[in-house]
Amino acid sequence: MSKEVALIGNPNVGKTSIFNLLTGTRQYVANWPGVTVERKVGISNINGEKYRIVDLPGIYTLSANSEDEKVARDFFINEAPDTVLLIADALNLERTFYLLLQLIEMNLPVVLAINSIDEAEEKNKIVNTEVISKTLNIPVVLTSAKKNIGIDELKEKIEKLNLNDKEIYYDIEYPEKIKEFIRKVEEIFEKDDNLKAFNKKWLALNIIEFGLDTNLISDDLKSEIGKNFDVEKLQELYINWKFEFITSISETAYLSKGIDWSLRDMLDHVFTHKVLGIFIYILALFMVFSLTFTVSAPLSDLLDMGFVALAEIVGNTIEIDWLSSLLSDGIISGVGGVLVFIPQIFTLFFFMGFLEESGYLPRAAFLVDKLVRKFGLSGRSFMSIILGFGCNVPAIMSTKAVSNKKERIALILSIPFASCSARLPVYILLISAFFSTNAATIMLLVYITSIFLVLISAKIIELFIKDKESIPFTIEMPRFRMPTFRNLLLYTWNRGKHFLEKAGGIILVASILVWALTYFPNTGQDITTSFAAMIGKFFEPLTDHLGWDWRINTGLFFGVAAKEIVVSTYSTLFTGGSSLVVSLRNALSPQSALALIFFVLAYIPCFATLGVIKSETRSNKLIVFTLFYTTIVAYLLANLVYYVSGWIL
Amino acid sequence: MNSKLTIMSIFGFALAGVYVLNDLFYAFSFLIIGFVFIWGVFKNKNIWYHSSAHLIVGAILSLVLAAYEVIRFLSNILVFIMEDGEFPLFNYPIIIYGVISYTLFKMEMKALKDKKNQIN
Repeated sequence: MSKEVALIGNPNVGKTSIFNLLTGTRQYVANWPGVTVERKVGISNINGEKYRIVDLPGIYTLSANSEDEKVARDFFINEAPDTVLLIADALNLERTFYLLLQLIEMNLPVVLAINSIDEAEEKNKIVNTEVISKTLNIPVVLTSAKKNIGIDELKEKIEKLNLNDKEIYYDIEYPEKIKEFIRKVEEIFEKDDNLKAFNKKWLALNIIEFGLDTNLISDDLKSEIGKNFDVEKLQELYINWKFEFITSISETAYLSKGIDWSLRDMLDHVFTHKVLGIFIYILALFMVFSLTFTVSAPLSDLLDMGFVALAEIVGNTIEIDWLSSLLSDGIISGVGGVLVFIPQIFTLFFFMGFLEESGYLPRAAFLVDKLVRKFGLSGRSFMSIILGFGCNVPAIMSTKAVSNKKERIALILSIPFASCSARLPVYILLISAFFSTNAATIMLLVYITSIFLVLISAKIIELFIKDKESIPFTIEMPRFRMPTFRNLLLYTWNRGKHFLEKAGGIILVASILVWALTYFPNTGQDITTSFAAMIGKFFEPLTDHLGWDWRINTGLFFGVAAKEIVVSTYSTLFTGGSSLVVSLRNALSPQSALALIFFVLAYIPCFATLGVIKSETRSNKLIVFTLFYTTIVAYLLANLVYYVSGWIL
Repeated sequence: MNSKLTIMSIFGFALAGVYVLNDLFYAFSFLIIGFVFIWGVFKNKNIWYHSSAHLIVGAILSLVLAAYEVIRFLSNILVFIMEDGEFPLFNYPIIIYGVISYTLFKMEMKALKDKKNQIN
């Protein structure tokens, strides 16, 4: 059986980068906290022996206030890893010592990796590894995941720690009263068989630190401890001792503290300005959207020409009518209709990646904290919303870090309004067809609307949930850094590859299905009497006034499975001899197209999102609620946009 | 310092006015850049580097905008070659504004480094 190494550390210290170097995997690494929302597992080969590496979410303490802290704490209690690899930031060492002390108190075998040592050296900060190692009796390694420094030494330390079978012994000198408490409470715990698996010393310290309001011990034991000790007084003594201890190590941890680089302060002074900061953020998004349309247009046109030519060649070569129609009108038009937007999608991810990687995005979360608070959310929630712009699934999973239950449920049910990237092909298609001169402006409008939809929805949902708990938002601002080209490509690929996977999977299947529904029952003679038309016409009474005919409705109907299918369906249904863009211009007015864009923004999330809502809330009722809620909101929004745009367009 | 910020902001607002009818993105960008520069003129007693920060950020934004213009132009050239449309327009004022901003950025960074060396 392979040995287990748990990777832990504060958010945004480079855990995932170290994980990638140890395991040879390519998990996405971001320059903002909260990227690892669930544990990731990989295998590392150290001198022929296999080690199972578990990457845990970034946390500051093991106090189990939020879901990710609970995940980490429970992991250490239940799985007792062979080694705990704690990653610290060389520029902010003192922030790691609290967590380090908690791990040592759990008597876990810790290896401390002090990461970003290259950046510390640039600022003349010299870390005194010997002092830390000798004071705490743990192996300490200096690393730089970015420059692949110290990884071999890290592997050696892990191996060495696992070769030694001797019991780990940490000699920390607690105040006398604490020592007495530990001794006596350990005796009390010995009597309880349910606590056999627990480290008694840690359990005693846990009670001092977090009080008797814990579910780790029985009520009888709580009352026995309560009778014999003044836990509150001990808690004060213990916390004071702990901070003094951490301060003393922090003071000796650096041989030289160097000088701070002032450019970060300069940038932060303006970027986090309460008024200018928000406008700069809007400008950054505006620029990303402008670049998306500008840079990728020639490539997209080239792909479009390629697919049209391919469909023509296939159509002319194959003589069997139905097969020729299936391949050219169904598969090539359907799948190709989505694939032509690959350049836009990859370009958008590339530049969004730049904003994330440079450390700018968490500043946006900090900026909007005051605004989102008015809607009952915190800046931490805003980061989940931003994640939702990529995909709603990880965004909903990231709500684990939101410790307020009321806020979390409201957020889970509102994140489907965050405009995920699967909707991009629909926007790009309609924007290119109807609003090419103001493409970036419309896109910006869609994203801003999406943010406000999430916020308003969360506010409304919170009105129906009872919970008055409120926890302030704290965020550690990551350093500004120039993203590496490799990491940007990795980010772009990790997000964009799903389109390619979907194109070969669900979109292909949907294209065949939609083609069959248009071809039958009258073998493609009259599409208006096909099964697809029947489905679309069923909804026409609801959409006629918006200027959407049965083809638009059929696309939206199949788009429930995955939003890209809306485009592939239109590619199949709008086959009138001219290009899709021209056919759409003939079928819709700009007003109807705008209403359609906003409907797609808000309506029913994809199956994968519904699945994750189910797993996170464990409620079927909430799934049904989401289905109706998003559809009603989308319909109302589409009507509003249609009538308002009627005055403008 | 204040004169540099004022001049850059005036040119920023002027360019916003020039582009307001042709390109909403450029108009919005120059409006924000103008505000970033002008904000630096007003004193902030708590932060000694207030004016420098506004000059540096304004210059960075201008520089990014100039880079965008180059990318946009090259991309449109590609479309022109492929589709035989009109030869794309190159917005020289944006590039000139970007170059001036870059010069100011370098000068300000040098001045700040000198100040830091003096302190240390």
